[in-house]
Amino acid sequence: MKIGYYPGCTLHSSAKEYDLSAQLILSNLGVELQEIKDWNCCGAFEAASVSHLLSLALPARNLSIAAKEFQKVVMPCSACLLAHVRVKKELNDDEKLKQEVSEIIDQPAVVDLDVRHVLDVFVNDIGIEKIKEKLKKPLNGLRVACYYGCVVVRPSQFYHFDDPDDPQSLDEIITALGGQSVPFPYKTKCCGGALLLSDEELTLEMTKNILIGAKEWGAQCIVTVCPMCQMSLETLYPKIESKYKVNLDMPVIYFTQLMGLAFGYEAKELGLQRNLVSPMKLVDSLK
Amino acid sequence: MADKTDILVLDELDFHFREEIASELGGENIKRCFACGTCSASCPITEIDERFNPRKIIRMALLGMKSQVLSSDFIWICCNCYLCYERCPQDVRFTSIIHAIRNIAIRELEEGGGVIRAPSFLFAHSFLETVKNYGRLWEPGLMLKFFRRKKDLKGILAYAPLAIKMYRKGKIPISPSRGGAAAVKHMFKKIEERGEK
Repeated sequence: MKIGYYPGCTLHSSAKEYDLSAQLILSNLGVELQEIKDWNCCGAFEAASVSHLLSLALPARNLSIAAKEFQKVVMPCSACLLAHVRVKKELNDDEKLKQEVSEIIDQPAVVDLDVRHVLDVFVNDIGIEKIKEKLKKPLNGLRVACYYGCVVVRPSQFYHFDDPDDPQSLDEIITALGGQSVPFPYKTKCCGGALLLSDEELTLEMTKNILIGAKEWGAQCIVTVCPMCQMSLETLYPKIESKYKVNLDMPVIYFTQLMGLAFGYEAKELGLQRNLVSPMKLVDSLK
Repeated sequence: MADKTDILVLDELDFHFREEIASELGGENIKRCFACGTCSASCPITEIDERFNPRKIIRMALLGMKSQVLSSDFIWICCNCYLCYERCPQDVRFTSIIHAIRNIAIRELEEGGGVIRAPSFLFAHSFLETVKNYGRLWEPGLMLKFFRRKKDLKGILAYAPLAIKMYRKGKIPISPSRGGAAAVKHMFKKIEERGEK
């Protein structure tokens, strides 16, 4: 079965390494993705603030295009995921609204697709056993803070594949790779990413808890599942080190990059040279 | 006795405000709130900045404190983390309510000739402008538009070293990527025409 791929804007720019590593690992596990034709931005968090209708129309167009070719669509970005599962829920609950959105996007809004985050696909479609079979370089007890962020598991009213308060999917992957997932009370605490540019002071406070928290809980690195989380953690990293006078020594990488290392890929194939906080010391320690 | 500035002047309240929110997309469930405070206790923003308090915003809206709610900066600092939405025992859907309130604030602004200076509003506006132009987000365009709107030259200069680093790492595309540009432009136009933007 062909599976549709919605990369979202950042996977083509600031989060290219997530795009590279996710597609590489999925293909290794036998899942081939095909990009949805002529997709548009989902509106992220911004569209809903300005116009509720616009925030539905943008993702509705993507799903309606995808529905012509696919039954399932995978997305790596949690914010894109939210926009698409939200429109699915809202239009399925309200036929009148569906008509209204159809009129705006000039085509019947078709939202009945299986919309999934890539993390969900790894754990629930492919399965932990298959991931274990691909293991070439076990992580040797590497202590990892699994950071889910907010909207991959929330709100469960839209999409539910894991516990919204204490999710386990990512922890299971890390354990399967031979790593050790440290207890991490901040695993679903928001990084403030949506406010990164508009209120840096606030975002800094939120991100600080996650980065310093990971260190306090003994992690050697943080893995993320969302380009917005990755962006706020990495860009605020040096500011937090200087403001709070800490040496974090805590690379932040996409979980697909860490999977790739454990599958035996070279750092470059996984785009690890693109990360803003250099993970090269970590890469060397895993050789 | 309460400080006089805390006392509500009943004549100045707009009792219709709760209906206005309830009839707005996303605002439907506001009247379900029984003020338990689960939203505020969960909110990661309230934890840092007490000015932002979901329970208080709902209470003010239900009481009819329309002008205070719409003109306040704090309606613009929700970070969209959906924790309150997830946990609310009454399914009030605060995240959607804050969006509904923002939609009303923008509409009233357009009618009344006022100005919203909240940075997250300026950000959303700049973000959507790039999406309207190209169908997709283009980060350099967004940054320039945002800081220009904010009239913050110093702000953009502070980002220069990061921008250079990101460019060198191939994270910033020089030219925008386009997708569905014509369709998206058309979508914006239709929504603007409806006056429901």
